[in-house]
Amino acid sequence: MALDNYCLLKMIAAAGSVRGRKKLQKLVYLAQLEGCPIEDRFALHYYGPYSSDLAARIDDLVERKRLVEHTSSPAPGAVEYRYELSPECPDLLARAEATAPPQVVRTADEHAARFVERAQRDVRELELAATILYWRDWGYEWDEAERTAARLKDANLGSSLCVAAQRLAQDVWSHRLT
Amino acid sequence: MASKVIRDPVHNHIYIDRTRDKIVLDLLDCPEIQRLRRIRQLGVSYLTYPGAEHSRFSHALGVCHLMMKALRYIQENHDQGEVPIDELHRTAIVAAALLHDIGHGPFSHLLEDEFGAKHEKWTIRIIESPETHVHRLLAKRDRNLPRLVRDMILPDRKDVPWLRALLSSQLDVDRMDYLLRDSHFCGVGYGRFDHDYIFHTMRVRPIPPDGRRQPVWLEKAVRVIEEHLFARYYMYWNVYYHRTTRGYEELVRAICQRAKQVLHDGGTLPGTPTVLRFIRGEQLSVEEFVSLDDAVLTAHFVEWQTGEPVLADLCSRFLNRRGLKPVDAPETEDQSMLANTQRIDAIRGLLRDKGLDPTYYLRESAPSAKAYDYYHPEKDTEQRTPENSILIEAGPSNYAEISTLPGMERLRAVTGKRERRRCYYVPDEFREQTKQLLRQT
Repeated sequence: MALDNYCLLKMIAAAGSVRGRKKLQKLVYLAQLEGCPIEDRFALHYYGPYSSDLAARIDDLVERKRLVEHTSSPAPGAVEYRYELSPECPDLLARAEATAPPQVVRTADEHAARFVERAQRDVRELELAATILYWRDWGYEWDEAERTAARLKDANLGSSLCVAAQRLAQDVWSHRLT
Repeated sequence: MASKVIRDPVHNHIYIDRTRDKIVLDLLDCPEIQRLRRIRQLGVSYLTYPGAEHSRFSHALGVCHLMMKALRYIQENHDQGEVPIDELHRTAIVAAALLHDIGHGPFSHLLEDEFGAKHEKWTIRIIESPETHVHRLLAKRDRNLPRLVRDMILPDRKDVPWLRALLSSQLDVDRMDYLLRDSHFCGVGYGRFDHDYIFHTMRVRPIPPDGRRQPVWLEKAVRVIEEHLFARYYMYWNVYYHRTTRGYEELVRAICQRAKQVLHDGGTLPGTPTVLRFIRGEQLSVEEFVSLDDAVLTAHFVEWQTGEPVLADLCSRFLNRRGLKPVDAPETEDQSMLANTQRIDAIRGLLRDKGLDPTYYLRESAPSAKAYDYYHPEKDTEQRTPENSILIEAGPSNYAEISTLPGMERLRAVTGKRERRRCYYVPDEFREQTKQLLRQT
């Protein structure tokens, strides 16, 4: 199993399932910034960092029956996607793990633990944190990155949403530096 | 006053209004733009396609031409006042079209990640820096113009008009020019499409849920857009990610990494202070950065052919087109990660036994969407933006992503799945043994 797919599947397995393609995109972006070896390239879109590489990777994993995609309609005309491992995937993961270098498994476990915690957060918080980090990564200082993200997302800088997103962004950045 | 006419092999006559678009003519004379003549549009693709010698300069001019053309079509195809474009914003987007690639470093995208030459960042620095000719010219025209041009390129504001989508989206003038130009100069037949008809059928509409304006296309355009998307697909695999080209890209990276290592180990290399600082990965000033181009770096490769043996060999291989040879990676899905690691370790051992450092003589390349990409629309309607989806006007206020339309099965077959073909590169004499080692179970 390729390392990038192993890491992605391991994180989704740890979370049980992930509701929403947007949420999955932002969670992987945060993990990537912390060194998770998924090389998909992100660009800034209307809803924050977005990777067509990752979107294609997810669709490919669904097609190859590693992931199961569930759809529901929370509102007329809207579709919500939910992803979980296919019944056969845990065995594949276990086989890959059995022969993987211990360091690879340990690192994937660390990313998975953080993924699980963040998957419970509100998608707007993830979106705002990811957007702050996009501009921080571009080279902006924290205050400029936060101001830019808040402006793009119509968020008030002092709001609880912004404060939570700033904390999350700084947490991700600190893992990146270590 | 008659327009300035520039002959171009792709667009034939490029007309520039000497009064309304005087800034374009002035910008063309700036050293920062003239430098683009010395940067090939396709990096080292000329080693695969001998005709691919065209420069970033001709591409920049082509993008600027297509932008002016798109704006004319928009004015003609909308009622007066329906899509207002004030003169300053028009100037900003036309200038942005000309300047969008001004930050490219030597060999275009090739050294972007490892050597701090990310072109988007340098483009913004060149536009914002008061010391550049480009900045001074823009500011002289209007003191807000440098910021407006920057806003057309850098997506950090959302109060920027829809005009930005003409320059950066799934059906933008940048992609249109590079497909037409690259296919022309590579001598391949599949990069062509009817860009006039794409402009003719483009409309600017407020799109739900937030009512932001963005370009959409009339239903009668779908076949022409399909042709454009297939052109992208074929160019992606046959030109941009050609296996031979990727091998030479890896060779140039290996040269720069080796030179960096030599300097890091306390060795010396002949070279200008700026090139050596670039190789070390040090932060350059704008003035230093714009002194770098393909010609400057290639001249250093010529110099480095004598001296440190590994670097000399790598440079000689590049200059004499004796590149590393590709070996396809086996399908790795569901094979154990350890087995793959062991195979690669075995190849490294083989090279070491023959006195070759695998850091430079065993290279891996997997195409990704870093510089060029084919169309992969987002299937979540909420996430569809001009950056990732092409919208077709199927009826009043009814917009559909193009690949979801009936009759688009052929398009769905190439847009729905991302292919990744990983390759390893080794010296020719180790190719067969590498193939065998990769196949071993």
